[in-house]
Amino acid sequence: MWTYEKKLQFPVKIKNPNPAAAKVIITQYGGPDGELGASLRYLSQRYTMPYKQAIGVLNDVGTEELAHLEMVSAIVHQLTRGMTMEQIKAAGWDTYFVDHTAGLYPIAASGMPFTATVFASKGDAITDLVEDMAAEQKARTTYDNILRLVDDPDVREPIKFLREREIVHFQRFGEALRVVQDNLNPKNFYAYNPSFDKNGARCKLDKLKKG
Amino acid sequence: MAERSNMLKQIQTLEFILLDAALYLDTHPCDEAALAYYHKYKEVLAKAVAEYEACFGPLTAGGVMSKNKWTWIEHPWPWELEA
Repeated sequence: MWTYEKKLQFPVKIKNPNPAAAKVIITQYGGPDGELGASLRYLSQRYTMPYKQAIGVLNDVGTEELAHLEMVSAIVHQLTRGMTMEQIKAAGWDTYFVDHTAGLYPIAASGMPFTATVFASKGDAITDLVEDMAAEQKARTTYDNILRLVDDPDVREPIKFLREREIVHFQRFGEALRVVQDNLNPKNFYAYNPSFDKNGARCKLDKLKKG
Repeated sequence: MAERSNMLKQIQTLEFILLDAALYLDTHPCDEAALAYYHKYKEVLAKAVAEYEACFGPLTAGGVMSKNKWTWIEHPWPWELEA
């Protein structure tokens, strides 16, 4: 269950419209390493995660990503608020404008609409947590690239905050992976799925192998 | 467990009352009777949440009371509760 808090996690106050910047930043709304995919990834994975520390991290990071989704949306909205037709055409924002005007719609920078194929939920604790660590690094790289492309300090400050959160989340997922690995049978370190096999399925699997 | 489940059911009912009233108030912001109804149940919910959290642990991370252990992550998570 969720409740909404009527504030952003970190302030977004952009004075000047800039659809060229919006065109790349929108990828963190609906793109391959964006906040929507991040939130759905973690909130989907938490159900089969076997250890409470890792469940807590997935639940709480998945929730925080929704706050990041809202920040990215606010950035894109403020960058496309009050823009002129000349700015729209010069920035190449016309291809978005024709379908969505100044409305928010989750797409990648390439124009590809959001797709759940950008994330995985495998039901295996190690598989999922390693995916999560890679996902945080991919998002951090994307924010680095945005910072290479955008000069406006009004835009850079919230982007820098979001970038730092990726680094913190990577650290927490690394710790969650350590908790999971410490709880596994060291002789069977990579061979079985602690989310699925703990209720006796592993025994059945062994019997099957023995024929 | 029955006690926990009963208290949780009461909180779910009260939260639903407030959520549904809030939705009505979104489109009727000057309806004073609806507003009074909202405030009345908000108070009842606050008491029910305080009582539940004292017995069964936090419903939000901000509801952690313990000074020596982060009880937020303790089982059961909502999808683990028995029917």
